[in-house]
Amino acid sequence: MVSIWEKLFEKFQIKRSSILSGIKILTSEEKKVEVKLENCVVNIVNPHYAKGEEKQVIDDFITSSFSRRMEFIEPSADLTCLDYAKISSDQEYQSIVGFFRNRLPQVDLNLLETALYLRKVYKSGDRERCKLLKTQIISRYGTRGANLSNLCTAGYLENSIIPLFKELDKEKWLEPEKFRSIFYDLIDSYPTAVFVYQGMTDDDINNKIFKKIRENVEFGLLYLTIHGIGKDNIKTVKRVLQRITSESLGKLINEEILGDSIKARVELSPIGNNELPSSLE
Amino acid sequence: MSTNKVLFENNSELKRYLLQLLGKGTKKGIIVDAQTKQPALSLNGEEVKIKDFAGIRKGSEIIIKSDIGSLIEYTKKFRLGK
Repeated sequence: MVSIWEKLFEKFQIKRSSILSGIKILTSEEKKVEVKLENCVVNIVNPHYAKGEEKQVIDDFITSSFSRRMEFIEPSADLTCLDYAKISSDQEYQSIVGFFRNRLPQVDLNLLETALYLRKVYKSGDRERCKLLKTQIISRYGTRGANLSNLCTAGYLENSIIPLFKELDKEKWLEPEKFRSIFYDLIDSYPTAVFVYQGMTDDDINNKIFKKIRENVEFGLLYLTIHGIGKDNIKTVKRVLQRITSESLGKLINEEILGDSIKARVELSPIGNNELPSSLE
Repeated sequence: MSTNKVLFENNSELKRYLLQLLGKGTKKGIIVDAQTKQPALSLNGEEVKIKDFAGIRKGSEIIIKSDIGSLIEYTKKFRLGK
């Protein structure tokens, strides 16, 4: 029985090759229909213009390839898939995704994995592609997608959020529901959030909060949520809150202390209502 | 590149030809099943516009969408077996 390959090769007078490494379907400006073997790859050019017997052979070849469960894919999508498969085997990637696996629903894990891919593209310096990917992430995952991408690219996941959860887990292993609620709170409140965790000095905390206040006020973001972990940090955060209020930098809207953690929401005063000091110390 | 995949150029005429050959059509820019006229769906059950069509796979007959989220989900499921 003559195989579908043999029919194609015979029709287009191609010399058989024992090694075939792929199939490409291409177009060219000329409307000429061609089937060529180049570097062990079968190139089918302009199949949509084929007629008569040529059309029959090409169409049979393509439908037969599809029936044999071959994947039909556009090259740039294929490259993205290959690129992602490579990135997903990185230790850094696996460590971050591993931390959140079994604690976040699949949709959020998908978002996290997409954000980590975006970070790799960002690090490669391809800003145009970053812009495109970011738009796609926002279109699919909304504001949470944008926020998590920003946090991820800026290194917040491993530098702030994961350490914060590890501290909370030390006290008591967080139930998935509680874990998710804190996670969403952190992601959704960004960029108006500051995360304070153990190991930071008073100066670090003051500088971090004050820097965020300056940035937010300058950009007209008049809210700030401060997340702190550890008894000492709660005291420091409270001192900072006092300072914010007494110097009219903003007013405390809400303060929650849960075990060893504090979450305080501050409404900041717009520029002009106060003189921003260079340090809160 | 291997013989378990067919790479096709991102050209709208070519995409329409391939879809038609593989039993699909379009209705108001959305890819549909040629017989039932029902939308052909992506991995996560979304309708796919012809401009977002990045590929197709037989088996569970998946239309591959070109956005990054869809491509990652597709890679995990069909290439990495996760």
